[in-house]
Amino acid sequence: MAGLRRARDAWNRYWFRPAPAIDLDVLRIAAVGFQLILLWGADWWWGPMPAHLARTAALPDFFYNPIGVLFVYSELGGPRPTLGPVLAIYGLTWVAGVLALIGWFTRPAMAVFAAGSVLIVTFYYSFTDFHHVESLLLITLLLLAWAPVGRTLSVDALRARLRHNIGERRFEPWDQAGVTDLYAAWPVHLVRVLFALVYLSACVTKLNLDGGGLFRWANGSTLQYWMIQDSYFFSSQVALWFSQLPLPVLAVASWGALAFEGTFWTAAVWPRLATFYVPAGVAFHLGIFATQRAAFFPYYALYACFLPARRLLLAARERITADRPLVLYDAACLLCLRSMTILQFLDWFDRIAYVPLQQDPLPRLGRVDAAFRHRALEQMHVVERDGSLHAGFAACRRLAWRLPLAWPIVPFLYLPGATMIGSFAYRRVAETRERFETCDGDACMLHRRR
Amino acid sequence: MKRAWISSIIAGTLLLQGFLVLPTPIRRSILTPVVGYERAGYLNPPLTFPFLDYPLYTNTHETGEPIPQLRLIGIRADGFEEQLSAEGLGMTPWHFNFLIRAAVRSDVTEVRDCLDAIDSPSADALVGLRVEDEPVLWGDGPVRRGPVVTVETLSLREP
Repeated sequence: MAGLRRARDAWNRYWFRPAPAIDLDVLRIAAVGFQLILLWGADWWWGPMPAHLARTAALPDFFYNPIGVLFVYSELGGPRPTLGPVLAIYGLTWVAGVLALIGWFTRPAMAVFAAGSVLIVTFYYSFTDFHHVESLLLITLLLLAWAPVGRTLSVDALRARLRHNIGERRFEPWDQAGVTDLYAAWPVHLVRVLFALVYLSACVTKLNLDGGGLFRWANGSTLQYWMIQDSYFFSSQVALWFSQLPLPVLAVASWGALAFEGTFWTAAVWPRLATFYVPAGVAFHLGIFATQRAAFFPYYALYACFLPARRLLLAARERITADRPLVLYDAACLLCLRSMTILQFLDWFDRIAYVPLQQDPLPRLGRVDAAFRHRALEQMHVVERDGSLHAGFAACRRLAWRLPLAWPIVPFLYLPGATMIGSFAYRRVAETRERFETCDGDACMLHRRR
Repeated sequence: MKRAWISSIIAGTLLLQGFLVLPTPIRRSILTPVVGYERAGYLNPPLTFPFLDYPLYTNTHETGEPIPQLRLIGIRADGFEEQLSAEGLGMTPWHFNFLIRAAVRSDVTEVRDCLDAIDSPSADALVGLRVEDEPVLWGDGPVRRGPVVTVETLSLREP
């Protein structure tokens, strides 16, 4: 009885311990993002997915050999799926996938996306030889559907934060890296263990269990054989070149593959070893793709389960927080609270400091006169470390450099004419904001002045 | 309750994927007392998709072992013969391999169904197929093609 209790406690300690929600959400974004690419039809052979589904659906019945859930469905008397419902599921899966990626209604979207993805892939593999590249990704999506995804790096999290700050009538900075959840660790750990089992399976099946030398597969000739075969099948010059390397070199490569697959489990037990195994895995699968066209690219996305996102984020913050610009905001204006909440939500590396205009004296500026305060209420002001001031569109441009999600638009902010158009647009929004945002009566310094 | 439910998901996932690490004969010997010999042979990947085992490039080979390179020759009514290809027939390589495997087994019905499915004029004109092997030879000199050997010939004419 005591032994059982100890085992249960150990189980709970391993799977259910408070863990950073951001680690889980990085895995969510990587897995969902990659599956969306696959659903788009980036596969080098099949082309666009809808066309592939249409071709598959047009195949005669004798090609239909249902697997997975479709096998169960057909055993229950279900007919072969036709193109219409399959395309409907495809469309629904796409919408759910985009929602799961951006984190809007994350958990229901994740459940629909996982189920839809499994159905779509199962459908086309029920008509042809199946492949292994998607299976671990699909299992991961199914697991994430049961996990507390979307607590960070999501629209859901932003909306919750906005509700909180607006409800409290004050801007409270919120650190996404600080969010922990009792149920955030288990999916991440489980995907690591699944990786270990997958690689172990690949290793075990190469062992010669029928006698004649357990490790005969690593004789070098075997690898040479497969490389020559694939050089013909895929017209791969790289495979042909590789097959012509000296036999001892091929034997070493074979031993390397066996060692990698057979010991990958150590990275699941001691995640710090992932700093070796993940780059090794990337190189391993790149080599396999270059020679044998086996595109195990989903594994690259799933290696995110080894990424200590929170730790890396905190380490990055420590290195780059020294020159944080100050954003001056009106602490009594709801529009300003909302803007600051969104800005801070996007500020992953904590590269901006938020200072209420009501503070006196203001950091870096000291005591300021009424004219300055009025100008700061009219448009956003950013104070750099050297005390230089940037207002309105120029301030937005300074801040865009600090927000990773804004980096793609930074070059556009410097195009000829961008300053003129940007300043005009900024002024228009600043002047008309009363029309779409109501401040809470007399509290708003800007509106009180007007 | 939530913890118990998630624990069952974890345990089920581990059990299924862990079971698939075992070699096929061992899996079958474990399953047989539970579901019977027939079903134990049946309950294997890809039926368990997306849970799979990973027997990739697992067979062991020795230097010099010929590498079979099967090719399919189409025979038309006028006696004209041409080598068929997946691209030429508008098929994926995997369905083309399916066709070759059916031809090697002399399964005329399956070959006909397969050719009917692809809706290609060049496939419609075929009255026969011949499977040839032009193995790749290696190990004692440069990689080269060996002599062509006929593996199977089958007629597609209606009986």
